[in-house]
Amino acid sequence: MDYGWAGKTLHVDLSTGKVSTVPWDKEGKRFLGGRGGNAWLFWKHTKANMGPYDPEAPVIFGSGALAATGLIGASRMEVTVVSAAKTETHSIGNVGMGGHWAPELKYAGYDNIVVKGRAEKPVYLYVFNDEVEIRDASGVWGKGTFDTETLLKEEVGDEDAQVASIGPAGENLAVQATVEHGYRSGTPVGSSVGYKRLKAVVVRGTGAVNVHDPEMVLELNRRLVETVKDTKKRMGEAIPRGEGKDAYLQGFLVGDAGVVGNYESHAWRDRPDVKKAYEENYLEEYFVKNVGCFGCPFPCQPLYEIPGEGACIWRCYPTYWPWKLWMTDLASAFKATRMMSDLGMDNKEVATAVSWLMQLYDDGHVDGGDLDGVSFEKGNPEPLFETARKIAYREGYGDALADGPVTLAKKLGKKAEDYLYHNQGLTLRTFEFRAEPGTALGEVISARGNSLRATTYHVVLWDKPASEGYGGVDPKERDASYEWSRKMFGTEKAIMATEYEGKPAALIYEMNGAAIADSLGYCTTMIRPGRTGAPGSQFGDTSYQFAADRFKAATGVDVDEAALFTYGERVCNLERAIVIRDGRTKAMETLPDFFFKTPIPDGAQAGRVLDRGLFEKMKDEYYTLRGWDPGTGMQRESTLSRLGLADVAKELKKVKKLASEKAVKEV
Amino acid sequence: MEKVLQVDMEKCTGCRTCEAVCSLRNTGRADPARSRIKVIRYEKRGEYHNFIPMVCQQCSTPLCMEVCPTNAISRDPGTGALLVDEKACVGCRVCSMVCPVGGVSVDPVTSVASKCDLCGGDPECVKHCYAEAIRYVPVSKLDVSLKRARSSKLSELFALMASLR
Repeated sequence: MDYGWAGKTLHVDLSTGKVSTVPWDKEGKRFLGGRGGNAWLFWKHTKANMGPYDPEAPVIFGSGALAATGLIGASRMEVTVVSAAKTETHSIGNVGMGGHWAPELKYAGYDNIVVKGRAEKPVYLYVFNDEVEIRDASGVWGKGTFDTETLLKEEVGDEDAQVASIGPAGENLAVQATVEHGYRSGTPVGSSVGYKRLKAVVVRGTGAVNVHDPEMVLELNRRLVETVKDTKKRMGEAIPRGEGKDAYLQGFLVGDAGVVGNYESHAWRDRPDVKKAYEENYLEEYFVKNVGCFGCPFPCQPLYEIPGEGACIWRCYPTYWPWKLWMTDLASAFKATRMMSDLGMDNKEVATAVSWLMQLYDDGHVDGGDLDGVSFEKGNPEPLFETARKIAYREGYGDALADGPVTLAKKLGKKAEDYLYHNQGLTLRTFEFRAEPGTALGEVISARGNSLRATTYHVVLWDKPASEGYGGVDPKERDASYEWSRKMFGTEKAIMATEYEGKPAALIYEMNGAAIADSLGYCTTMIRPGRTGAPGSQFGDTSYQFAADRFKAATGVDVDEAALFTYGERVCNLERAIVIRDGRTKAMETLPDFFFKTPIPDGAQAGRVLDRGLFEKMKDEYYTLRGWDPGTGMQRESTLSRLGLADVAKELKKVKKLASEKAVKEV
Repeated sequence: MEKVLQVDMEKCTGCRTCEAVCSLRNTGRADPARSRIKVIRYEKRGEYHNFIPMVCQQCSTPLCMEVCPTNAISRDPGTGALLVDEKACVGCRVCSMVCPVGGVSVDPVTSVASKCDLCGGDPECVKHCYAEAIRYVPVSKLDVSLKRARSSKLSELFALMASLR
């Protein structure tokens, strides 16, 4: 009997209409589920250098291994595709999101769904327990994700059905397109789904998930509820609940980490109009309430309502962009977020492209003529709305941009290419890499190529804080965290934002933890294991031990801290094998020259710039600690075998993407 | 002092933890379809998200008990909860037909009536409801606290009117 897992994988071929199930077996469970499980299915069902628009390319929907078990904070799903957005390398693209879709899939009896083939006409997949149907989607094709969700729930006649869908952006193969559920998706995976003419996956389950030790699950839940209550007492308004000031906006202003414009400024938050816009106004005016995922005691999704427009959730990192557009008008930012959620696109990708065009426009390198007459004045929200629409419907300059910003840059000329900062075609996260070497390394080294899943950002401590009153880090906690860091990584610098030393070890600690959380379907705010910082200085409980206890209670798999850590390592190594197989090289794992050459112009971190020598040294150390070859970044057979991945090593060897063992001795 | 579940739907975030833990406690599996509490969702994406947890209110005049043809429902003298005698119940569903709040239904596995029994006076859902949308309160405080919660809106209105004067 399966405990925790549902135990089945659903296979659907849209070309032939064939539907079948196979067991979610030991091989797959090595990677738990969710992100790791999807990576395994991706590895099994893709070939090297498969493009996103290949009928055989799989689209994989997976539920986190512990979603639906009754463990609170386990709810997340993962969508994995051959990435269209990484225009230079493709390979694996994935996104995780909370909500209610993943538990519903488990209650329907599946851990994951692999969709292959391409439908002749638009379809949606309806999964109701054992009944699986490929249904005609002509009634919703062309519609936004809001209407799609409402109409499909009506069509299947079940208010409790859960919908993950694409909008016009996905249908029109814009690389910025997302799969939307709730309001919770970020990283673009939608065009690979659109290519299959798969409008949505609607799931409804009325079955049960077996739990190994129900009483222990309840006990661990009660403990976590208490911990979260303590956290709230301790951190007060820093908790992202939309109470008082919004921590998403507040936290980001710490240390002047927020990027203004296209990496043009940092000293912006002291401007009175900015302060007013971000700190005072908007909550009272627009805040409705917090909405949470399945089984969440910590709802982090503030719902805002714009009068006359409707509601939308302003959620975390993907929305850290208004100041990239010099915007102080938060009503427009909410409106744009809502619009892009409906069109089914990653607002960070779109906004970053607009920020780039604003700089080009401001510097006189492009004019309205190049961009269909749209005026890209800094701070003006109109070009954001225009660009989102034009990308989604492939109009004018949006057509080239929908193929990726690199395509549009080539059309606009040399300056446009110079000003476009990207990683394999993906725009960069909204972080100031010049002040955060560890975050910079995480950005380029993560398999996805753009990832909060590879970062030391969360508890980085600014050695030179610019902002007072960030509730998250008080001096006592800071000192405890430094002490913890010395114990874990040999130096407190490992958790200091601007340092290089100790970063690789801290990054691995975080990345493995993120891989575990994403694979178990854990909330990454509250219980993601492996956050750097002293125990007790975090939201909730982020220890590996707690995560292991919960895993054991639900599944009966006897794991301790170290064994759980190995799961994370295994997932990261499988993803590494995938990107290496698909052409990732050591040389590609760096940021654009700009970040090594142009110092931060202003703000508390003024003058900082990445040091190439130190950066490369940090990278080599990372490879070495991972058991990879520092010369090439490729994995070794011994490393993979140790992790129970001899089968993966064998495949890599066939395509000559395995480092030689000889190099081990030289290190 | 007899206590009851007090539901404040404005606080509910729709997370369904109550459903999961209710089923874990009462069936040993995570099985929301068998939970005795159910969060009804009224949602239109991009417009509104409203949630109403529905659970037996242990009525003072319990229609379910009155209509039950086999007298399978009785009141626990200790907790005040209305309990189903699973041996006596024949699964006729009359109780669920007459219940004004949808607080009792027929369990898909046992085929007999299933409803909240207040976990014997220690309701599991309450312990997990971080939003405090479900609380276990003494009957004597129930009405006053709900009245107070609702009247706070009026007091905001008074303040607004005063400020406009």
